[in-house]
Amino acid sequence: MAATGERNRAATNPTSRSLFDLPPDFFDSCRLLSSSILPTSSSSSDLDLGLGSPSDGGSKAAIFDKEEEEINGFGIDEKEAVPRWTCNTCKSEFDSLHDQRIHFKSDVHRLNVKLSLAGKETIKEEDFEVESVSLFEDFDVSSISGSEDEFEKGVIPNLGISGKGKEGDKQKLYLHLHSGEIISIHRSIILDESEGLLLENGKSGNIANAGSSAYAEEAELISRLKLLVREPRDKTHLRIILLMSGGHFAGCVFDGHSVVAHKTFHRYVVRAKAGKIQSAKDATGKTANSAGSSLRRHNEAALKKEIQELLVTWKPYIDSASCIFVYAPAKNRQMFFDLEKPHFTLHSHPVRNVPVTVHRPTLKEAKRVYNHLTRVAYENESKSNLEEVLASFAHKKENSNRQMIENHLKESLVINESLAGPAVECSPSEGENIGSSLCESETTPLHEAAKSGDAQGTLDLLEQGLDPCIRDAHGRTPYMLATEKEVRNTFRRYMASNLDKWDWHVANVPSALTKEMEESQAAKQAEKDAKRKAKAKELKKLRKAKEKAKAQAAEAQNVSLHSPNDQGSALQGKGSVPVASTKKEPYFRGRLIISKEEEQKRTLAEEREKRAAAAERRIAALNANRTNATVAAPSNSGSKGCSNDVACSCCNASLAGKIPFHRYNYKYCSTTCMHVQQGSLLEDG
Amino acid sequence: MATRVQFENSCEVGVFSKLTNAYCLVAIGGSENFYSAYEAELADVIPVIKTSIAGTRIIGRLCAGNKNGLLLPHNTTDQELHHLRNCLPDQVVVQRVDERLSALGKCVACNDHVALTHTDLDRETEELIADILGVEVFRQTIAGNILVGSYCTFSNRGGLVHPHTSVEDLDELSTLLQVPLVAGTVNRGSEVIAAGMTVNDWTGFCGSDTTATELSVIESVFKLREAQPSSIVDDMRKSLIDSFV
Repeated sequence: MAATGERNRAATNPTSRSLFDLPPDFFDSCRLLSSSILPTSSSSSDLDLGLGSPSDGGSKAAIFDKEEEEINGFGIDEKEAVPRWTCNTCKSEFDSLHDQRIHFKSDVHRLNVKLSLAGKETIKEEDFEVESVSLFEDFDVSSISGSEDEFEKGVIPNLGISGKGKEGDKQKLYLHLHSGEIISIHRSIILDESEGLLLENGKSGNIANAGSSAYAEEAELISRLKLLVREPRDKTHLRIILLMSGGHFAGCVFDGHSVVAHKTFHRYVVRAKAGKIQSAKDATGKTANSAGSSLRRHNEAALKKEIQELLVTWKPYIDSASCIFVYAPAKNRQMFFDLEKPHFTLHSHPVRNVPVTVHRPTLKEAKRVYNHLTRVAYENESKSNLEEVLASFAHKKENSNRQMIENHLKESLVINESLAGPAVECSPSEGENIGSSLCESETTPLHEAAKSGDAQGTLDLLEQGLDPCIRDAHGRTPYMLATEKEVRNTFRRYMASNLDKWDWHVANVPSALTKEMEESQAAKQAEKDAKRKAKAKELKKLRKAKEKAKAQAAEAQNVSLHSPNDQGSALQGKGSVPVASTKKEPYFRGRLIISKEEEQKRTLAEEREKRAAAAERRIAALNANRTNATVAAPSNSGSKGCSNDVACSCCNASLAGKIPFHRYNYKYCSTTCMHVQQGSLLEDG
Repeated sequence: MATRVQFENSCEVGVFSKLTNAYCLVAIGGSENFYSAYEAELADVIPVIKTSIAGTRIIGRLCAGNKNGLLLPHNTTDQELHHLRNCLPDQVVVQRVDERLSALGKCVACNDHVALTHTDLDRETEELIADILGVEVFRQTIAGNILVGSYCTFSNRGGLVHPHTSVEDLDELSTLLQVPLVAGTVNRGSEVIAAGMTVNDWTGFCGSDTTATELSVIESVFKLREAQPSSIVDDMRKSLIDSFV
């Protein structure tokens, strides 16, 4: 059905027709064109915006249909006082209940309901085809379904060519027929992805991939085309389309226009809201054990099995297929290829990717993709159209300029013909300038230099007077491309010396970098470095002091180890085990914490050593206590560096019964003591 | 006439029962009062079946159905499915649905001809709804609420929707569904319409909190006053007797 429709359209509209409608001698004495001489991508996208697509006659017709419909619709609406069939979500009205109901079942409505629930703007039905692609990506694929009416109206979105612009061009081959017409066909219909293209003059054309291994020569290509046109329609030259995404599978075998076999499956595999199929989620390492996930896993396995069974039954078709188009993004690919006994391999059958945008895989979508791939589009019209558009654009601009100026003059009551003259004259040329700069402004040498981090080169180019305000295809100025600081500084330095030469704001250079600024920055940096050095020094010193203190403590321990018995006898009354002794009196309560801490630090030391150390400390404490009681002045200055447990390191007051403040190895009775000590230490240092 | 009932001190009778023109499901474990209220109204016309779905009593929220069929969520046990198949009339198709959203009652609102559904329902489920229930399926929201099955209830004769539904939406919905609609409440101001009541073409049950005003609105919009299962026969009898006399 669709194929015949396509044929009819092709017959009535000469701008595009199917490959299989062509007469056998169509490609005789044709010539392959490199894409550089052809209507450039920018021009074709311009045309899409302005006129609908020139290469797709169908859509033109569709726009026409729509316009007519709109006119009809308005007519009826005007007759009726109150519009009765509406959709408030999509803000549209309908002529009949049937239309309304169809609308409520359509994808546009569904998408709009979702959008309005999410608090976003709803989209118009006309925009749906164009915008939906990006919107589809926001939602999971299975939640959007193919719609009936749009296809029948003949709206075949040519997203592959026009929407993508440049990439679209690369996917096409342009041929110059002997009749003087230029036509374009999808390269994937005759060329493998790995095959580059060798133009007549020997060097690989723009189309050829740099890394491609094989090159098809022009003669070879044209002979292939001729073969394709002459190939018999007896199920020996089949083309198979396999689409798989989001749990939807659609497979269709075509022989010329006719569908030989087709099959579609759907299974619930896509995780709602989160998107992506379950196995993709499982591959991340987090396995969910919910009912839904197991359902999806099962469905995925079942889908794979179904597809594999189908491929087995389609074995004869696959064997006689001249090429197989596969659309299976990411994980979906394993549904076809990850088989123990593969039904088709990349070597035995030419498996190619579908080079156009594919919506939810359905039979209709498969047919659309096939028709799209096998379409021959006449390109020669687009050139004239382009000229028309440019002319009209210039004309419009001229008119508007003239009007503006006239208005202005009227307002200011100064009538000056000579002023209006040159203004009008210069306006078209201005427009041309803009156009040409837009076309050319891919990159400038300045962009290249900035990108490569060549500071000297950048400076040279700037001094030669290259404009840093030019934006490349992505709208980036050279400064934005500069990855290295030195290059950015070059721009800023140049800005400082030539502040009025360019509009530096447009060039996106943030601020000028003068010599003084650089000097002050350097000074700041030096200061910072000095500070850091000083800090490091201090730390080193402190560490040294610490080590010293530790050494002293160890020495003291050794001393106590040598004479444990003398002191042990003195301790006997209170018990030789320190833990037991600390329990006995409230006097030791403060020390309990300290001794415990010490013990934790020395877990690796031997038990005996531990005990000895504890005993030694207790004796020291007793001594200190005695000295505090009898002599007011601190007895030994050596204890200053040493971590004296029971006395404040600064004022030597007893810490018994208090929780001391710790700083490094020192203990203080109060924070003031700590600050005093700190000051004195710094002075000493 | 609409009847006020209560399920174990809960007024959300729509949660614990499912009423269609061909059968009525009630949750097991309710007091005999609840059950007998349904029996008294319906027993001589349609079967009243006590069941659980997925081991729960919230059967009204889990299943969707009309006189043509009954859709059950994927977590329905085989035993329950078997029980329902046994008890329901033969012309009612019982089908378990592999749908992620298992509370079908909340996602689907339907009468015998049209259904409103949740926008996220799977395409396959949508097809099943159309096939099993014999309805046209529309994806729509009720006053911005995505759970259409909770916020509206409609029979072949009329419908009650969420009280915040705008007049335009009301018009649109009633042209779409081809039944008169009214925005209103049940259970003394509850906006969860379908949870508070369950209705078919000739009778309805509301929670016992439903006020007299609400009840009168319900009876008028669902045309329950003049509608009795015997009304057609009564009409016929009248005309027959007329012709006899």
